Amino acid sequence: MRPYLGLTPSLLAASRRYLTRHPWQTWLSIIGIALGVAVVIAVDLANESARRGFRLSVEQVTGPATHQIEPASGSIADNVYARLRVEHGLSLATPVIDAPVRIGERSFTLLGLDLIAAAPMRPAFIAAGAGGDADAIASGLLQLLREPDTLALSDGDAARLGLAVGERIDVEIDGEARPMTLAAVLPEQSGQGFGGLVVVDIATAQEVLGRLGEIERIDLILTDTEAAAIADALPSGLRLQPSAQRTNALAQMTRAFHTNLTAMSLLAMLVGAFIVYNTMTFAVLQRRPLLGTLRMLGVTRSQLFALVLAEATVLALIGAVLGILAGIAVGAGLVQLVTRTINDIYFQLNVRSLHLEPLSLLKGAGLGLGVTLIAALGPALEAARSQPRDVIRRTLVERRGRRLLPWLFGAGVLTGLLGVLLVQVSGRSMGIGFLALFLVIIGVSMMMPLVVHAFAKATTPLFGWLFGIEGRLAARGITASITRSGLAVAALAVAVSATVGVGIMIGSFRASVDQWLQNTLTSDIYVSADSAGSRTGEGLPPALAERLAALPGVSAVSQGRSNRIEARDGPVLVLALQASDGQPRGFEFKGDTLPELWPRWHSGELVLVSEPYAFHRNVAVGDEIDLFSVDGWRAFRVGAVFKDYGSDSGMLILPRPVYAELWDDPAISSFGVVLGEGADLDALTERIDALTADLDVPVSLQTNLAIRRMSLEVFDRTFTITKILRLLAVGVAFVGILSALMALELERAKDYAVLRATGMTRGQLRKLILLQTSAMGIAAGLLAMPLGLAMGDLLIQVINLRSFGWTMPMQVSAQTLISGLILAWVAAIIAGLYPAARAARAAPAHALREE
Amino acid sequence: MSASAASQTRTTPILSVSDIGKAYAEGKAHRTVLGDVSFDVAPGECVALLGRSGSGKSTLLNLLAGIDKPDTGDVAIMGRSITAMGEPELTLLRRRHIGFIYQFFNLIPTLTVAENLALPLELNDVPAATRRARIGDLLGRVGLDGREGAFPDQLSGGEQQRVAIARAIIHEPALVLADEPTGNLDARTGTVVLQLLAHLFRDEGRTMILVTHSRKVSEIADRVLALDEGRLTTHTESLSW
Ligand SMILES: Nc1ncnc2c1ncn2[C@@H]1O[C@H](COP(=O)(O)OP(=O)(O)OP(=O)(O)O)[C@@H](O)[C@H]1O
Ligand SMILES: [Mg+2]
Repeated sequence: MRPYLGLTPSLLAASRRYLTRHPWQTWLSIIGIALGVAVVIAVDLANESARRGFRLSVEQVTGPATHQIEPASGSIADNVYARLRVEHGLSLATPVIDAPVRIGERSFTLLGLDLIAAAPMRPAFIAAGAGGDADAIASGLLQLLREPDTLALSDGDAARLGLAVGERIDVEIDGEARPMTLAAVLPEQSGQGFGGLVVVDIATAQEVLGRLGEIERIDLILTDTEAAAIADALPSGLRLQPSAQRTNALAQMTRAFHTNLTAMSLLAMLVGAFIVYNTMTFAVLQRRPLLGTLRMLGVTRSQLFALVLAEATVLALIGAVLGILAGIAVGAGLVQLVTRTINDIYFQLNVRSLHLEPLSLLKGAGLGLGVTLIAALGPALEAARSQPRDVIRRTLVERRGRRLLPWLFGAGVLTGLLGVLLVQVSGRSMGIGFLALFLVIIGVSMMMPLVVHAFAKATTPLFGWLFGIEGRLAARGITASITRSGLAVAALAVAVSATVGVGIMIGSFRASVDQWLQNTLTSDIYVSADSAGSRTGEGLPPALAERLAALPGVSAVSQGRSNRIEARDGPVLVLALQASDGQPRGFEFKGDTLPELWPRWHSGELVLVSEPYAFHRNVAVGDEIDLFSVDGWRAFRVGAVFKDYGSDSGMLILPRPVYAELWDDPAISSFGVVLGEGADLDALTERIDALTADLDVPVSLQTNLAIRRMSLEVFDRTFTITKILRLLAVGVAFVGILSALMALELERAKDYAVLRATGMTRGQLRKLILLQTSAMGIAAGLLAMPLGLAMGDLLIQVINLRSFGWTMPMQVSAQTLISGLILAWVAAIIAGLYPAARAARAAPAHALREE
Repeated sequence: MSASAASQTRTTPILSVSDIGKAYAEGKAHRTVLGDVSFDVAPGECVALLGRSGSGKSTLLNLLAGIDKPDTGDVAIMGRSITAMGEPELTLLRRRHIGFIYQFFNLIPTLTVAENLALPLELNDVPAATRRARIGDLLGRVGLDGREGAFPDQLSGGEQQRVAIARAIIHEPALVLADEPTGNLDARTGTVVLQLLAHLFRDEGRTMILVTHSRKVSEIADRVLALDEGRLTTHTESLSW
């Protein structure tokens, strides 16, 4: 029987034992792969679980309704619902109000329904009635209808809260606790059950939420023909929407957030791939003479190629298995973090458990295997280049290697350029973006050995002059084994540049956001409806504007109103602005704007579009956007695209008078107050405080500075996950580099023994080794700077633009660069400590005898 | 002169070297290491390549094995020019027909003695049963019975060299090339290894080219070729070392 791919048992045994005899290198490769796989799987699981939780949460609230009737803005009056019900003979329809509430530490969605109308729509009610204690539930439901402040919970939630029917519980609504009574317990079912819901009668919901006489939407079960008929007959300002479309539109909100997480997981995969590339290449170079012997025995190039790929496959399989296990464990933690962030920023999630999606596991493991094999291609080709004459002398291999350095450099330049080119042509694809990044990294690391060689050669006299014979020997040692020392330096440089690059990316982002906040926040004090109490439909009275403007020390007052409005492809945040003195300020436009922008904007013809909105929805200046107003759909032309880091799904800016009319919403979300010349901020704050104290809406006052500080805090929190991933990836990369440097030094044990035997003292030897690793560390640190800058630039292009739609200039702080340099040096010194101690300790005779 | 040497003119030579030359660049200067070397070796012949250190013996042997390419001239093995041969073909030629013994053994450190011997057989698709039989037989003949499971670093220099010799002949190559197989061993062990080599050689009737700088070693050969400053000289006696 012919062995597969010509890999005979002895060839495989030789590889296997090589791997087990170099456990450090082997395990680092495995950990590198496992890390990549684990992070990809963890993020994927967390994303999938969050999406699923999102969907389930939305569906739970929606129930089996096929359609919704929604208002253009605000709410629907009770009587409108009553009229629709009668006119269209709607049998399966219920008015709905929902709102996030808290009971104890847990968050719930309060769902107000017309229980009688909803009963036939929600089979769960029927099932509840039919199940075990039917009478109890039926009387419970009756109590919900009749008595104020009564609620129903799923049996699971009731048990978790330790509540029995008839007991009272504090429900936290808009930050205020309200005692309510548990009237019924509904059986929890899979799918469209009641877990995470606080079910109340619609009247109770209106009462506790302070929304008497109004409902939020109407849920219906309709056939397609019924739907078409109703859609045509609806009064203006109301819109019929299929449930699935609504769910999708809501899910769109968190898309950028998920994409960003995926980007970071791909970055981890990238680091893993580089570790594999690096350790496998090192393993090939280390075995050069042995591979030459094999070639002399008649092993073909393709057999050696296959052998290295087989080694990589084994490492990848072990790494993938470990990665899956670790990925599930990390994913369980990550899903909590992810859903919490979504809850904070986007939407109330009632389902927050980890969902083990087999496809995610397969995808992560497959990606790990594929990436490992791609990363191993280089070393495998390198192994296939082995020649019989490599056996004769290591120095010959090194000499041949040195001749190759310029070629390697050239190939590196080409590879890097290919990567840069790929970034430009890859459009919006994140995966290709990262492939391009990988090419750039590999390209630059191929260029490094020549640079390191030149560096060591150029500094040999300097080292000799500074540190005597040890210095000269140290520098010579680097050039003598340039293939491997060049690789170790390249690896260290890449790891450091990754930290520098991510540092630059986050730093640039933060600086851009800070700059943007300074530009955008043109007022000194912002008066807004208290965020905890504000909800669509409520706001501050417009008359407040004149009273504010009349205060001494105020030079201008601007007004803003924000609301979610339906566009054709889902809801979008609309900000309606009105400046007291002409056009709004603080906008930085990207590219061209339409002529006569401001007059046409004021007249309601044009809309301003934020950069992320333009990116995600693919619109440009001159395009039209349809918005659903009280009068039905209405088109606006995009007049300009402005920079905005405030909302990752994007927003639109309209003039407030136009908005107020089209959406019948005169309320104001916030006033911006500009200080007059020489006015005192604190004094004015007090005066505004006094002025707004007697309003019946809670009001919050924030200074420009406070908002900026708070925004940056939110920013930093958002990037915690990124920072953790970065630390993890770089940590593993470092250990990989340490092992390469260490292996290189340990390999020289025999040379060092000769030096000792020739009369070099232990101290001198220690000095030599530490000088050598220091030189390599500093070289790596210096090389990491240009690479770090390039990586920062690419990361900004790949991550910020492709997941959020944000563009920003690169901003580099000296501190980032200097800490990178120090990091490289310290890492190299640490790598030298053990070999230095060992070489100095060993008796020369012993080391000499060892083969 | 032995009978095989006498028959040389009648049969096709297994190895034919014509006018090969080799120079190395040293800094900017070119240094000629071999010049116009020509000779033939008949099947079954044992040739010693003699010369002082630096005379170009290893260089010549590497050219014969196709490890290196000559600047001028041609090397033919079994009638086929190896200088014109492509890498894959050359690899197959080495695998089937050449055994190489290095001065520094070059055993595979991660393979046991038996596995080191098995490797050339596996590469030549020899069935497992035959492999086992041949390894056992050969280990007995080199005096290493019972050491199958040892790794190279657990063997003495002489023992390693005996394994290397066994590895070079286990796949029954037509041509064995040995570069100072005893150079790295003490005199007594060297003699033992040499006797072993001579013995195996006579038993199996193989063609062998043996590089040495020792006249004593060259005594086992049918014929002695002497290298002096990269040229063949017939007057071996004139060389003084
Ligand atoms: N790769 C090389 N580059 C430059 N010069 C070389 C190279 N290989 C061998 N030489 C030179 O060629 C000459 C012959 O070397 P070779 O190794 O063939 O000698 P040798 O006869 O085998 O010597 P020894 O008995 O010491 O092994 C020497 O002067 C050597 O310096
Ligand atoms: Mg020699």
